[in-house]
Amino acid sequence: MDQTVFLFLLSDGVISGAIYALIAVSLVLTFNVTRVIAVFVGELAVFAPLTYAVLLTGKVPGTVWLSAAMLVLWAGLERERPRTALPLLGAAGATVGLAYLTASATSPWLLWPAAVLLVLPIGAAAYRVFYQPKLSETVLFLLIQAVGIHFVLQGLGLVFFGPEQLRPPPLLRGTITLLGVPVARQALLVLLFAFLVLALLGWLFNFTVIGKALRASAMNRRGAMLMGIDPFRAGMTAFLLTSLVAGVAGMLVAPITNVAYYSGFSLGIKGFVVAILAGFASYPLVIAGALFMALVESFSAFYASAYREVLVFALILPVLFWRSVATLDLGGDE
Amino acid sequence: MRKLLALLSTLALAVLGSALGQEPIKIGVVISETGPAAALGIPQKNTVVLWERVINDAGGISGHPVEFVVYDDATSPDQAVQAARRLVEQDQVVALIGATAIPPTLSLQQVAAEAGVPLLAIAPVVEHNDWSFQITRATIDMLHAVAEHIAQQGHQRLGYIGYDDALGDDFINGLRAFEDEYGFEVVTDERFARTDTSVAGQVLRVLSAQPDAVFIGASGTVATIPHRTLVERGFAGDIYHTHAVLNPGFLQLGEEYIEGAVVPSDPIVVIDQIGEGFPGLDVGREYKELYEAEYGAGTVSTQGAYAVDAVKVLEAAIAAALENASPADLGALRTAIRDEILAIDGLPGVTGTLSFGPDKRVGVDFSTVVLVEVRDNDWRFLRDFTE
Repeated sequence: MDQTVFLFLLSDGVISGAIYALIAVSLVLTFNVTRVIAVFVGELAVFAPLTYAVLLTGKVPGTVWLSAAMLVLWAGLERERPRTALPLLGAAGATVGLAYLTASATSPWLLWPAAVLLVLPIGAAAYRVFYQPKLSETVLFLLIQAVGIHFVLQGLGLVFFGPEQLRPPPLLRGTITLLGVPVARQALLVLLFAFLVLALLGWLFNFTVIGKALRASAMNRRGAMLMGIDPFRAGMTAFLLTSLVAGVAGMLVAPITNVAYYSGFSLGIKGFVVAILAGFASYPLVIAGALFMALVESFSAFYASAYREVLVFALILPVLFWRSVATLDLGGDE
Repeated sequence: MRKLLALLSTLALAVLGSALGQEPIKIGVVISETGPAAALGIPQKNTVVLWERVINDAGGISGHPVEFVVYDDATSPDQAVQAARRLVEQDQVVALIGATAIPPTLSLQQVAAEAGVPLLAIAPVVEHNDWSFQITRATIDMLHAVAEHIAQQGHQRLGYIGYDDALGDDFINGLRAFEDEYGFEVVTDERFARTDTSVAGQVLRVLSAQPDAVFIGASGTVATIPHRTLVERGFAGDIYHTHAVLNPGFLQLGEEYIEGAVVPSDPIVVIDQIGEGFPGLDVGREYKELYEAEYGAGTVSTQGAYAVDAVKVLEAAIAAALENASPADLGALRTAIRDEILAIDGLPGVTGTLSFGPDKRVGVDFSTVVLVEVRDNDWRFLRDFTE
């Protein structure tokens, strides 16, 4: 193990860590506000780049129809309130329209944000359709529901995109050499985005009213309701944020790693591990945990590649043991 | 009352059927239309559907129309067994073709042996029982071709990086079997998961062993990841792949990085580039023409070729078996078909010349393997081994 190899593995670990941190932050955010462990965040992350890759070939992928269908379903649930239902129907139409408009375009400036926007309704509508009626259920119930949604989305991913991998083009091509190690420019973009998101979320939660409202909903839902904070709107904001962060993270990372319908699962599960390492509570711990896990993964890929997955997932064990022995009081009604 | 009605209608149909001589011969097909092996199974299904029409348009087998009953095993051994039992007991097939992946095929072999139905395996399983035969070329023949190239180029140190499952094991074990004869050594055994997005650590380890060439034991688009990483890290030696990368996705995702990759293959992939005198050239061309006319240019694949060879073998065997046995006695017909398959010698197939025998359960051998390389993002014929 010489210095170049060490630096190479370090850089690989840091970049993977950024991706896992983004996914884990989404999971922790959603959990704190809604008590839903959204294991389908992985699918939300890869649907965007998969959609992007298909749009680039001039076709409209099935995810667009899924988005529109879920918006229509949502509108149907709101049929007693036409002020909400009609804009939703409009959004469904706009989704399909945007897809057909951008499929014939070739400019990545148009297609890139379009791909993220087209997939966003899936996360938001999933919250309204599947979770809003069940807001007061136990965490386990909500988790199992999330697992179910994950299976459905993954299966639909296979139908929409087929079994092979796709690779959308990167925003920044080429590599630069840092300390003797070639690093893809796209990877630096991922790091930058991770840093921005974490900084933004930090500012949001500590210095804005919305952030305080979200934190209040997380700590004590009934108390927050008494103060005039609508738990459903807080949850919807959290889900929208999660879908957005996951979608953009997926878009940034896909050109480096290839994506297929199954890629979401490994992203989601590794993000879940990091979230456990952080106790589903602290954001700085998420960053530390993500880096730690990614470095373990990177170095064990070099030293014992056959046992890499074992070592990574075994990290959960001491953490769970410690947590069960020394519980953290988060407040709240659970 | 219902039973009486069923009996009467069956009798009526039998009388009518025999009077018209139109009794269809049913062949069961179990392939992966869904699941991880779907990309391989779909061309197999397409081939079967197409060839059913081709055979029936030409008058069927000895005047009997042929009907392929296709079930999806979703790449699961349990579902394959269920499908096979249904085919054998309810659909009353005379033979089975399947499956796309190895684990379901192993299950099918058991069902075939229990029920006394001949099975033509279109996955590279290694062991066979009395009732199973293999159409797919054996993996060891493909690795043999790679070993020949390694020796030809004078490589002595071969790095290996492959899947962390049984498939990855198969490839490295097969390569190691050729070490002594061809004078090379497998110097690394690095593994990665099919769903991995980065193999940086493993590639570094492979490169630190300073190999002359590297063999990537993976499949499809996933194989582009270690190849790309090797090239990005400056590796300039030969990079070999398995025959499981012979699909358009690999070329598309590999872009310019996979230039010069050497892959062992069945002839169908480069059938237009092979010179005259190669066994089975016209059969291969005919299949490619018909398949691509139906499903689009450039869609022909080795998996579909295995399916059509299985059909051709059954066509010949059933025609011969019908001379001695009749569809009325299903058990005797199935046994007769099995015996006729054993007697097949020199049948021209798309994958190669097919011959079976009591000790030869794999139809094609090493003589019709070809080596191809990636040039300008397309497959180019490199050499064959007919001499």
